[in-house]
Amino acid sequence: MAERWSRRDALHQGIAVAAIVVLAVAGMVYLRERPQGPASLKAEVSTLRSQAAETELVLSSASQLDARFMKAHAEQLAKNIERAQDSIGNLNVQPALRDAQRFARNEAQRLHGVAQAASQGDVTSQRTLPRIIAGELQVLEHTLER
Amino acid sequence: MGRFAEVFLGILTAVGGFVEIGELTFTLTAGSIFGYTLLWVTALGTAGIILYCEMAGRIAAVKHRAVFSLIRERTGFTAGLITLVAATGVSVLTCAAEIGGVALVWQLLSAWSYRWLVIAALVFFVLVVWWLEFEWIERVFGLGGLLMCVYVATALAEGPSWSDLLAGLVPRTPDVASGRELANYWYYAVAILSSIMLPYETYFYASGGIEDQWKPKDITLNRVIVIVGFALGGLLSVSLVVIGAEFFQAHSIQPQLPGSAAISAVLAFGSVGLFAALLGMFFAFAGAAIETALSGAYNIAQFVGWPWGKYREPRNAARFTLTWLVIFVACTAIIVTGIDPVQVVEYSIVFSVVVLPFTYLPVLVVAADKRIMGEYANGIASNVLGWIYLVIITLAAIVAIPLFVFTHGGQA
Repeated sequence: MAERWSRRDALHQGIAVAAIVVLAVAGMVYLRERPQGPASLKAEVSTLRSQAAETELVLSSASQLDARFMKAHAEQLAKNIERAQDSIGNLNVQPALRDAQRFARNEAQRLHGVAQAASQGDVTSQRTLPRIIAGELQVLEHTLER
Repeated sequence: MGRFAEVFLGILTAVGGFVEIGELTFTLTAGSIFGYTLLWVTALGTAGIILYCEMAGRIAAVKHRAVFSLIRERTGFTAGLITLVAATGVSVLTCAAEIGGVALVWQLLSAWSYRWLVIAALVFFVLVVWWLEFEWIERVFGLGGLLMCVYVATALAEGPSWSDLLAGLVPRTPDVASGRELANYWYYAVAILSSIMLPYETYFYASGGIEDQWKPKDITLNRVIVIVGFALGGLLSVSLVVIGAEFFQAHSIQPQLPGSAAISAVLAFGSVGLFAALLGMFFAFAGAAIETALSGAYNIAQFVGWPWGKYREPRNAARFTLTWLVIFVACTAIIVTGIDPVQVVEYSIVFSVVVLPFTYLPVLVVAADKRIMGEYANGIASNVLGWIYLVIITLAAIVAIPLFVFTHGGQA
C-alpha cells in the first residue's frame, strides 16, 4: 500500500500538522492564562493536603524507618511540596479567591519547613504540625467545593 | 536450555517486567481515591496487552516482522511517519520518567544528590545496554523485578476486603458527588488502561521475538509466556490497587513518589520489606528505561530500514546503536533539568493512549490476514476480541487529552 510522497504533499501535510499544533498550544495558553475558578485552586490544595498527610505519616513512623531512607524520602517530599507551593502561587485565580490562595501558599511554606527539617533528621520538633496543616487544608477544600 | 526452563524463565521475566513507574503511580493513586472501583480496568488492560502481545509475538515468529515495519506497510509512509514521531516522543517521555524513577530510588538507598544520580543512571544504562546481551538484559531486569512481589505480600498483609475486590472487577459508574469527580474517575480509568497497555511493550516484545530468533515452533512458548506471565503481572497491579485502597486511602494520601510506595512495605515487613521494595522498583524502572530506549531505536530502524538488533555487533548496526545512545542522552537531559519524573509520567501515559490505536490496528490486520499468516492467522475469538479492544482504545484515545485538561491531570 505504498503511496507517492511528493514535496507538495509534504508541504500540505506539514502545514496541517503545524496548524493543529498551533491551535492546541493556543488553546492550552488560553486555558492557563484566564483567571482560574475554585476547582483549579482546590485541585492544588488537594495535592498539598495529601503531602501534609504523607509528611505526618513519615514523622510518626520515623522510628520504624531506616534513617537514610527517611531523610532521602523527606527530601523528595520537600521538593514536591515546593513544586506545589509554586503551582499555587503561579495560579492566576479570580480576585475572590486571592485570600484562599495566599493561605494555601503559606501553609505550603510551613509544610515545606517541616519536610526540610525531617530531611536533616529533625523528626520531633514539629511532629504535630503536618496534621494541623492537613486539617486546615481539608477545611479550605470544603470551602472551595461550595 | 530445556523447554520447561525456557518457559519458566520467560514467565518470571514477564511478571517482573510488568510494572513500571507510571503503572505504580497511577494504580496506587487510583486505589487511594476510588478504592477498588477501578480494578476492572486493571483486568481489562491486562487482557488487552495479552491479546496484542500474543499477536505481535506470533507475527514475529512466523513472518519475522516487527511492529513498525507493519505500520509503515499497512498505513503508508505519511501516517506511519506521524505514528513514528508520536511513538518516539512517548518512548522518550517514558524513558525519561523511568530514569528519573531510578535516580529517586537510588537516592532513597544512598541519600546522595539526585542530579548526580541521574547522570550516574545514564552511565549505568549505556554500559549495561552496550555490554549485556539481549537475553541477559531481559533476564536480569525481569527477574530482579520479581522483588516487586513484596507488594503482593503487602496487599495481603493489609487484609483486603475480598467482597469489594470481587465487586471492583465488575465495571460500574462510582457514587461520586459531582461531574468533575466522575471525570476524574474516567481519567484514572484511561490512565490505568494506558499504563498497562503502553505501546512500547508491544514494540519491545515483537522486536525481542526477532532478537531471540523465534520460529513458528515457538508460538506456543510465546502464548504461554504472554498469558501466564502477564496474568501474574496483572495480579501485581491488582495488589497495588489494594494497597492504595487499604493503606493510602486510610491515611488520605495520594502517593506520588517511589518512597511513598515503599513505606507501605516497610510498615508491613520492616527493613526486609523496604529493601525488597526499593530493589524491586529499581529493577522494574531500569528494565522499563532500557526497553523504552531500545523500542525507540527499534521503531526508527524498522521504519527506515536500517540494520537493527542487539544481536548484531554495534559496528554492524551503527545507526541503531547511535539512536538508543541518543535517546538515553536526551532523556537524561530532560530529567536533569529538575522536572518532576512523575509529572513526565503523566504526560507519557496520556499521550501513549493516543498512539495505541495506530500501534494495534496494523498488528490486528496482519495477524488476522490468512494470506500473510496462513495457518497461524487469528481465530474468530482473537479477531472479535481484537476489534472490541480497538474500539475501546480508540474511545480512550479520543477522550484522554480532554480528560487530562479538564481534571488538571487527575487532581479534580
